[in-house]
Amino acid sequence: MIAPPEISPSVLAPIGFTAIGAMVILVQDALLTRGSSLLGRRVTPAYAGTLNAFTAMLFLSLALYVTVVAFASGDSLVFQLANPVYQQDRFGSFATALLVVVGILTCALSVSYLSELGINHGAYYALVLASITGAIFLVGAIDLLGVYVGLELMTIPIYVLAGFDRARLRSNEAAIKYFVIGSFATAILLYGMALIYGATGTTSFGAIRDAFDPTSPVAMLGVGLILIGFAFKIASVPFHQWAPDVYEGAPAPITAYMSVAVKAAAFTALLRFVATAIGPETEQLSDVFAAFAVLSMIVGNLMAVIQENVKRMLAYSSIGHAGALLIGLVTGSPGGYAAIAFYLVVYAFMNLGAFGVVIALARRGQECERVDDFAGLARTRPGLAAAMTLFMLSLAGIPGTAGFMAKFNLIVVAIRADMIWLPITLVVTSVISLFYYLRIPVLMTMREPSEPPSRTGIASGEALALCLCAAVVLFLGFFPNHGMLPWLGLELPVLDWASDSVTDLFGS
Amino acid sequence: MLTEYTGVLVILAISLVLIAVLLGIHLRVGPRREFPSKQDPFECGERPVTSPRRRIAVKFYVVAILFVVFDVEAIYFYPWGTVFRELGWFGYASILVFTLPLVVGLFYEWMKGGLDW
Repeated sequence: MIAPPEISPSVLAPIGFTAIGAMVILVQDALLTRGSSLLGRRVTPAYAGTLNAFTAMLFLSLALYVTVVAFASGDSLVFQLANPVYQQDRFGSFATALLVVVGILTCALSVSYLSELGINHGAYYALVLASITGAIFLVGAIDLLGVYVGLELMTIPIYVLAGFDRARLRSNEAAIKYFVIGSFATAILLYGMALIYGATGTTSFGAIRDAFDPTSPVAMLGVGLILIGFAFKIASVPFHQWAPDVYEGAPAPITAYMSVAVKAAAFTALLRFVATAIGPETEQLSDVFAAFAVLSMIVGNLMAVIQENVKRMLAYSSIGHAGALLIGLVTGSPGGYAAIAFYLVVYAFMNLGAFGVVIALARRGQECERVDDFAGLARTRPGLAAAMTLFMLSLAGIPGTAGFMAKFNLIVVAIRADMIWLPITLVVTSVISLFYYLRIPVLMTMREPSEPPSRTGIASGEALALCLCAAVVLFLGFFPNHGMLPWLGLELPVLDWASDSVTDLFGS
Repeated sequence: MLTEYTGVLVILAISLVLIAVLLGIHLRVGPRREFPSKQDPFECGERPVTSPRRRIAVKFYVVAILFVVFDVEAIYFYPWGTVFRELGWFGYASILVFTLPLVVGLFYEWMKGGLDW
């Protein structure tokens, strides 16, 4: 008799909810025969899509609840089969909560967009949930194989989702490009893992830490290849070329999800890998990260200036933000890691918000993605224009918005670590970024609309998601750490949560 | 330890000899009448050399994916089956967890008409 391993169910609760949710949605969508009637309404693709979205949000909310409970308890639980593969600690729970919230917002933003574009197929929400399942597994993985499984489970559904608008050539192009380059990156990552396994004889983070020798060429080559794999996933220069094409071609909610959730999950996994498997103090790594950071900030922000397509512009801006995030990794200190965690939260909301406006402007069968489409929007759609202005200001890092607080934290941490050039690059590139971010508000207010808006209303899901994003961006802009919800008396010290969570990586 | 594999070696030798003998007899005794279509790699009416860039019904793709999925599933089932008793209920639950998503996927595909030709 082989003794079964001890598995406490609460470790896998968030993953379980999202995975089961994905399956429930598949069954539900298969049972919702189009044309029959349910609850007194004929089942149209749009109706079925809405029901699927509600199921998805229900399961994501359950996952969010268990994650918040786990975070509040502060326990560190390990899921162990033959080796420990997955750990639920505060760092993982922090990232998981962010991912799940991003998932809920993505679903809310997708409902009417899918109907507008006529791509309301059932597998959509199931794939989103499957991808989130992988992302959650990735952020908690404490074994190279866990990282691999999580990464693949996260990206394979996105290959499909990027090509979800299958009648449009651009979408197909995005899916194929992402698939080819993503597989390529995964292969490099896997090669790096193999080399590390060869050098240290283990795949477990803790054991790698003990056996790791920074002077061994094989081990360092392995680490380098793993970093390249991660750099592909977070779209950092010089491994960024896929991002603009894929972001442009994929359906806007998927672009939003990719730019936020994939980046957040890959970054968190990278932080955990560097902190617990290699040691953040390894000097060679800091140089590599510094080069990545500077290149990403400069290339991303300069290339964004000449873009005429909003999704492409946001893609380059996300490359620039990846560069800014890498500054925290260069410092290798708990403060830097906490600044990254906070930046990821802020970035998630402001970027989802910006894409949310693009999504809300999509009209029957086509997206509103050219910069010129925003002309005169302040007159025709004042609410959306105001929201877009707020998100643009926040992405640029203007005080009073969350984007400023995020960048400010990073700069403070980097200066404390005696790195003066990285913050200077960040500030200079932020100034450059103002040009393309502010171009949209300028167009919205100072130019006449080129054509009357063909869609005037806004779906309730989009409205709620945009309001939430705007509220968080403003709230964190003024109260990054001492926030109180006025009527509930609930304290929201987001920065403290971020710094508490990274102590799990550096403790013990 | 290598002696355990003597049987394999014997089988290998016998089969090599057998092949040589059969082919040899064929070469010596068999009649030969050659004509062009008999010289094709596959003489079954299929043109052996064509352009690969032709359209193939996407349904084959669905069938191929299904085949791969259930083939891989079978690979996992075999080792599980050999230690079924030792693993007990835990092993049974694990394999259910493994199978459930596949069944859900099959159900979805079936209901969506992926198996209707």
